[in-house]
Amino acid sequence: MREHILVCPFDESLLSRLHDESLVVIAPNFEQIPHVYHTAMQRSNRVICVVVYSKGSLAAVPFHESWKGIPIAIYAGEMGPFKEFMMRLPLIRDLNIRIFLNSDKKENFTALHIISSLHINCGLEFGESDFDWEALNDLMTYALYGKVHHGVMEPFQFIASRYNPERLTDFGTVYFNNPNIYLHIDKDENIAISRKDLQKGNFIAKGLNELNDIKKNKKFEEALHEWQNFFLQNNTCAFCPSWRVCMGKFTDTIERNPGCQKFFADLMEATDHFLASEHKKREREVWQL
Amino acid sequence: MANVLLTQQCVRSCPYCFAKKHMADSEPDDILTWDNMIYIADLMESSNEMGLSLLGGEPTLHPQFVDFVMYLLERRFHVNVFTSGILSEKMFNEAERALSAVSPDRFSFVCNVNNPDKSPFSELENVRRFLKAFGHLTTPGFNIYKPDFNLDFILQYINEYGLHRHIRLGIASPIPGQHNVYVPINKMKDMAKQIVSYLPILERLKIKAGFDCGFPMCIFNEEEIGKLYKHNSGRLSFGCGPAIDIGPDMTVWGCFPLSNIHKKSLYEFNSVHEIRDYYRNLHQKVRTEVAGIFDECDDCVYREEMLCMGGCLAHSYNHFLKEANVRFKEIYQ
Amino acid sequence: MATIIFKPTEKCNSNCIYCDVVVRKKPKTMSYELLELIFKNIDEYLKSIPQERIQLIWHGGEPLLLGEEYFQKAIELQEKHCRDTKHRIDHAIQSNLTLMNEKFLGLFRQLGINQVGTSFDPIAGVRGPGAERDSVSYNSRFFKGLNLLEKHNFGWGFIYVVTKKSLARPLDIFYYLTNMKLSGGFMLNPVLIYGEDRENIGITTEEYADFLGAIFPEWWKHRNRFPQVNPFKMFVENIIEKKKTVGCEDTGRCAYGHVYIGPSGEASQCGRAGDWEIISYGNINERSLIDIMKDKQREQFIERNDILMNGECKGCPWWEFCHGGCPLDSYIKYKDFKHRTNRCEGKKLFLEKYFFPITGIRF
Repeated sequence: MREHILVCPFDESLLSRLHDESLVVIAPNFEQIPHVYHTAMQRSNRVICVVVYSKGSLAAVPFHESWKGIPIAIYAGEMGPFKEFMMRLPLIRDLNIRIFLNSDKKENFTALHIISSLHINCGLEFGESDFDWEALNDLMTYALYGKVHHGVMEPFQFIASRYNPERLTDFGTVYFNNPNIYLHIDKDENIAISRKDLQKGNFIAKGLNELNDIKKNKKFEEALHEWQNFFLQNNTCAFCPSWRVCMGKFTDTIERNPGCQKFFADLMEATDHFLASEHKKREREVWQL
Repeated sequence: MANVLLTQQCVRSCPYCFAKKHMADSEPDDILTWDNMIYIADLMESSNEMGLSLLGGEPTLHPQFVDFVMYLLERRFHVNVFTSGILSEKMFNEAERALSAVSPDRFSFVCNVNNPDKSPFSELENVRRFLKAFGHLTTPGFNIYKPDFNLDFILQYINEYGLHRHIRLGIASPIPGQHNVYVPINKMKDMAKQIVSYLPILERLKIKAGFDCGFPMCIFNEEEIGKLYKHNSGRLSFGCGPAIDIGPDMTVWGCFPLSNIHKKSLYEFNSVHEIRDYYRNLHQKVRTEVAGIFDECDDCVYREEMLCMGGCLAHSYNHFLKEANVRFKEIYQ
Repeated sequence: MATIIFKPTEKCNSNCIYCDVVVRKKPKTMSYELLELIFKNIDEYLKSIPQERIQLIWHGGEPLLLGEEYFQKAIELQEKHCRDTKHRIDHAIQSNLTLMNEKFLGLFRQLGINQVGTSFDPIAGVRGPGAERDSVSYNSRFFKGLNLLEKHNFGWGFIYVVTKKSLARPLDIFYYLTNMKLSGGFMLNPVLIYGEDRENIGITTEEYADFLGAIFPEWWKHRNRFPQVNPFKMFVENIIEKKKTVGCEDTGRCAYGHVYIGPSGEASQCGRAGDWEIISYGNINERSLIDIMKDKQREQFIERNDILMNGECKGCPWWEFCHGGCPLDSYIKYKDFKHRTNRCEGKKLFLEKYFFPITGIRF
């Protein structure tokens, strides 16, 4: 089995050519989740999770019994009416699911707070708009310092639990954007290191056979070491005390929306606290990143 | 159990209201946020306290009132709501849809009702609508603010709307330094007689009357205490706080009449026990200065045995405000 | 273990601002014949002391400028002349990594080298080729070399030389360096200038102490994040943990343990002594390594310990992990080796102003 996990759209033709792979499959809609999962599982493939990207509200998601046992990631625009979400809660609790809400909407920070407090694993997806770093800090504080057991919240949990002082901690992994682990492929077998690159046409290779020797691919190797450009250019991020858990992900917005340095410094402290506390939370088995 | 104020706004203007000052000083949009509600729930849960009361002002004025109740129920809290029963049409419909079928083991109302003779018609209609929908979840509450009070209408409500066969009797307390209507100390024995006069009819109707905090024991003579003892199956308490009240701005105080004194930030405490201990110690210090509302409280053996706490502490504070500052400084903060 | 600072070439592809070698007009490179003689001498030396080991540290200039063939030749010569003693030879190398390739790494493996020492500076114009010191292209090649090391599981550590240019931004530099190599693995060394300060980069020992002091509180607070930062780690190990892990300059025992051999076979006490041309032990073309290691001039380094212990350093609480510091520091100021290091005040300043107050340790 290949080292990399492939992130691909649900395309039956493509899937028929994939054998013995680890896959993250993007389903076109919610209704097809079971079909996507079972189709992808054929030919000895291991499905890490099925992803659905939606701009609609969580309350409108047609959660279904047939989703039980399927590892799922849902990206939604907002929580929607609380009562409607609550009605779906018993079923959601029975699912192997992680729910992401976008930072573009201020209300989503509170929504994630609510969802996590109700023991649902969730996460914040960083959007295109500037957001309030203080609100993010509050959410992180809850995620890592919370007084009582609650649903895991990403990317905070990932950073705190995977942090290793000897290595960089790339929370892009939470969103399948880490070339060390994930490669993105479209139905035409174009390969990229992230979903954004795939959408923009920034390919590093084409063809499934290229995957076999991807480590020898020059563009791939450059992608792995792209972080070094921060150091070569003496970018502000290279001098940041929290570089190791951020890796310059907010470098483009640092001037107009400063606050990342303080936030990640607090996150590093929280991570130290998290590691030192030796508090093991027993989680439901959720598909692993 | 802690009391959580969802909002400081109210729909009524009760003459005895000891939350008046608080509400007057608050902003209209000073309502409890979701993030703070979650914080409070976490604090309660981590303190192993799985019951809380929602109040106000009028808690149903909070736009997320129903959502909060559903949330707390989902988190396995027992939720009790203190309400006037006067809900907007929209809120009433929402609450009825979501909450009327909740088990009484998990959820309850205390509906503080006023004498219908003194209430506007629209208010009465609202209350009746509320009681009709939620009577099976509701205990009627009544705040005594004058000695010659009347409970007849409550008995009628209980029978008509199937309310819990229990009346929660509160005694209106003074707000130190403010003017509100309350039962003066020298009229308390008259009030006590009036309470006891209702016992026969309550027993006939199989309704219990229970005391909220602040009633001193010695306003009842020995015979009256005996009747009350029998009425309450041996469960009789003349306690006084501290009742932990948490405001929408995340301040906390030891009970409503004392809401302007020793207010702290909730974030200063790590558990509900810490809060309770803090105010218990503080109130104890005050009682060391003034044992109770009567002079006799100083030497009272029942107070020493904690059978009676000497009446509402607010009366003692009122006492201090009229004298020179000669006592320990925390009293005056 | 004896240490040979082995400088087979003075050639370099960089023009680092603090380098004493780069200023030489006609950089020399060791011939194969001399290289062969070196290995013969090493074999003879090791056979004369059956339990002894030699650490041979390849230095420069830039040793990779020797080319792959040179290292291949070294392997062959070692095989030929040190058949019975090669297992007691530990090779190490210092390189700027800009010429690194996989072939070199393969050769290093054959020499038993599995990590590379290097240097780095994020400040522009400090390291790099040419008069302008083009650090952009230089650092780019440095990182490429680094990536190769990591790809082939070679370890690496580096020295950061603190100069006047560093003083304005100590924490920035610290974070940059620890971001580059997460757990640390570097040393913050003061620039050492012998003679004229051509580039105006010299710093006083007090400035160096304050530079360290600006960083130390952050390091101490988060030392779990970057444990391998020296000299902090060394101070903690020696003062708090009571280990004896000081560097060669502080052991007081460098007399018979070190030698420098230059590209023409010239021998001196150590790398610095060789670069500054202080003290000569002759030339290996004319003297055996055994004789060089026993040179009578070395006695003065032994005597120095007694002189200092009973003189300038008498009663000093730091004697056990300083021993009067490097004798060459004494030479800089006094032109003899009989005095304590000229960095003494700076060391004390760091300890008393920063280390003890911040750690709360009472010595």
